[in-house]
Order: sequence, then structure tokens, then C-alpha cells
Amino acid sequence: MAATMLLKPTSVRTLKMQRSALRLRWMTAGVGLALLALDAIVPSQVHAVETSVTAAITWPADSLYQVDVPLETAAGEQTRFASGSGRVRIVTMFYASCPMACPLTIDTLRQVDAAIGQRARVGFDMLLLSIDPAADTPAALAKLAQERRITDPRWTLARASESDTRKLAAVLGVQYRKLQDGNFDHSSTLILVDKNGRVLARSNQIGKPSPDFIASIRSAIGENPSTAKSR
Amino acid sequence: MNRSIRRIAIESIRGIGIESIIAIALCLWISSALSDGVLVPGGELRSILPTGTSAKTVKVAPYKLDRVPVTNEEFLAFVRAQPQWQRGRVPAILADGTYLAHWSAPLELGANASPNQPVTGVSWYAARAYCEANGARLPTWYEWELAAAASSSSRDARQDPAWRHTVLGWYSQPSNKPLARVGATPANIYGVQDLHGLVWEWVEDFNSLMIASDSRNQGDPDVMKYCGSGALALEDRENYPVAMRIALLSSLEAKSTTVNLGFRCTR
Repeated sequence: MAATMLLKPTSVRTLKMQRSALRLRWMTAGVGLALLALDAIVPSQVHAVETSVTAAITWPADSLYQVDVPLETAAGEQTRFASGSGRVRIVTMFYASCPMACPLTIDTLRQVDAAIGQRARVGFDMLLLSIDPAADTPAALAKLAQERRITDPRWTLARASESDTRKLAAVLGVQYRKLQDGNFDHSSTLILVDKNGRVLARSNQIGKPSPDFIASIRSAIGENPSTAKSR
Repeated sequence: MNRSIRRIAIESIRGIGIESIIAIALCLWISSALSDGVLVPGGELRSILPTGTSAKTVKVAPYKLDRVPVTNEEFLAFVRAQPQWQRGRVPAILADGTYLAHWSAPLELGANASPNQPVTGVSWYAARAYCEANGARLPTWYEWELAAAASSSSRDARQDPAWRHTVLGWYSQPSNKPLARVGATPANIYGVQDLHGLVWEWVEDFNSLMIASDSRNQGDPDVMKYCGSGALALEDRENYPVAMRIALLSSLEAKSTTVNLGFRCTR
């Protein structure tokens, strides 16, 4: 290619070669400049400033809402992790195509609701966060909710970005690892959070809710003052 | 943007082809040199972590890794630009009590923190925030592992006893000496330095370091933690430096800070 460009037009054949050389120059210059443009532009678009720490609301130093990331619910609503503040909440992480642990987790949460009772459970909400945001689109989450008959408006299924999902897991103390076949290894934890985002209790027990966890919920919603722990 | 690029393209073509190509190549080289990241081609990695499927390797896409860890000087510039990350201002949930404890003041390195030492005492959140502010991110475990498997002459030197001996030697340095500066260890075949024996480094998915011998055992957190029976599931138990790194990272919380834990970024 380089040799072609150095030729001077001395004949018709050379003229043809020089035209194709000119085309090659166009292409090379175009490719090179496209690469330059990409190189310059892509990093600056990715530039992001940590927004949660500079939020106007001052959360307690140990509040999970210090990590206030955007969420998208099964209904397609744009909300934030800290939007649940002001209410007691149970937070957990799952994914829709999970074969065993997540259906069990959902069932455990149902048992929690049953144990607390219809009247009292209006005092707290459930937030289920996906560890597989790529697959768990709002449509997929809505489909799962339908299949599992999750109709209570107190329950929210949501996803965040891949990067924010990792951050949520970090602050919730949940571990997860995506495998090559699209499944996940993950821990199953229920985290009880007060209205300021502080952790009141955690439970790794799924299948049947732990009585201690139930007791913590009761005292958080003001149900059983005699067993309330001082916070 | 399109119009000016077309204009530049036309003008560059008017000139002699070779010169503009050389100029473009120089610009690309300069810009990549300035960002101080090294292109690691990626490929198939035989990881120390079990894949959890029948596959023996995992695919790692090409990436650009920082040549050396982030230094005290660089981190100081970052906390100056983003005051919410200064010591004393960061909430406890994002960095524990020993965050940047070795600096003499929130905005001053002091005698125990020289500018070219790798910054330590930083939490995962702080490391991430630094990388994000620089248009980058933390490397994933696989990205770290792939780069760390390389010697100066081979992309995968992990089965080479001489190399393993050398690497173990770096890790066995007595810890009563002050932390060395970045960039003092030999570069590997990609040009990356200090992956072994300087500081431990955060990775983006540190909380995915759960060793399960059987991926069907989901939902049982005790089986999946690293310690105890989980340790037997590592694929190469003689790779002590990497095993120690997994042990450390899997025992930490995101807010943890330690005097030997720093980080570098991936672009």
C-alpha cells in the first residue's frame, strides 16, 4: 500500500493504481480518525461523579441509603433505592430464572407476611432486587410476578445497572457470581431495614423464616414493644 | 462533529498519505501512553476459581489495565477534586475507621505516605469512585488473574516452577520495610507491573469470590464461603499468592480498608 502511494502518474495503468491508492488513503484516514474520535470521546462519556454521597438528604453514617442508586421496577417506573425511606423494608436479592433458591426466598417472604398478619404488615414493604439486570427487564420481572402471583403492591421487584447492582450487593452484604452458563452462585439473605436505611436484622435462613427475624420485624413496626431491641 | 471530521479527513488526504497515517498513529500512541493503561489482549483463562460449569476456561475480553497501582499522589488529587471522599467526611458505611489513616491529614500525605507509593487504606467504594472519576472502572477478578498469570516472557507462567518461586519470593518480603514505590518490579509480557508482592488490590467483583464445588448448591451460603471446606474447591491449590488473595478479598466488606490493600483501574 505504501509503495502504491509513492508512485507518480506516468501511464494510464499507473493512473488507475493511483486512483485506488487515493481510495485507500480515504479509507485509512477515515478509519484512523474514527479511532481517534472514539478514543477521545468514549472515556469522557463514561465519566461519572459519585452522586449518592453528595445527596441533599443527610442519611445516618451507617444507612444503606448512602448508596442511593437508580432503580427500574417491574412496572417500568424509574425510582431510587432510597425512595423506600420513611418505611420499614425487607430487602433481598434474586434473579428471575433462578431454579431453586429464589422461589424459596419468595416463599419465605410470603410466610413472613403471613406470620405478621394482614393488619400489621401494612407497616413494612418488600424490595426484591435482581442480580441479573441484563435478563430481568421490567417485562421479565412483571412476568415473574404474574407467575408467582405477587400482587401485593407492598412488594416491589426492581433492577439497577450492572455496576450499581454490584454496589447494592456490596452494601447489602450479598455475594453473587455469574457463571458462564448464565446461572448464578449467590447468597440468599433477607435484610430488615428501618425507615432511615439502617440494618435492623439479617437472616440467611430461607424455607422457613427465622423466629428472631420475625420478632425483629414486629418490633420495627411497633407490634411487640416488650421484645423491642434498643437502636 | 461529522462535518469537521469530514473536513479534516479531506484535508489529510490532500497531503501525502504516509505522513497522515504516521501522524494518526503517533496521536493514538501518545493518547494511550498518556492514559498509562496497557492493552491486555484477553483470551481464554484457566482460572483458579471453578467455573461452575463443564467448561475449563473462561473468556476474557481485551481490556486496558493500569500499568501500576494508583499512588498516594493521584488519590490526593482525587480527594481534592471530590471533597466528599476526604478522610473525616466519608460516611462509615462507605469507608471504615482506618480510611487513609496513614496520611498526616485529610489533604496532606505526610512522612508516612510518599507520593509514589501505592495508595492503601482505601475501601472498595473509594477505589471505585476514583476509577469512575477517571472514566474507568476496577478490574474484574478474571482480568486481574489473567494479567497476573504472565511473566516477562510468557502469557501464562503459572506452571513454571522458577517463576512461581520468584513470585513467592516477592510475597515473602518482610513487612517491616516501608511500602515500595510503584513501578519498581519487572514488567510482565504485557508491560504491567506490580501485580505481585506490592499491595493487594481491589477488584470490581470481590464479592463474587465464593468458592462452590457444585453450582447446584445455590442458596447455601456456608458452602459457598471460601473458608473451610470451600478452600478445597480451588483448581490450583499450589498457587499460594493467588489463593491468599482470594482468601483476603473474600473476607472483606466493601467498606474495609487495610494497610496493604490498594487498587488500579481498567479502561
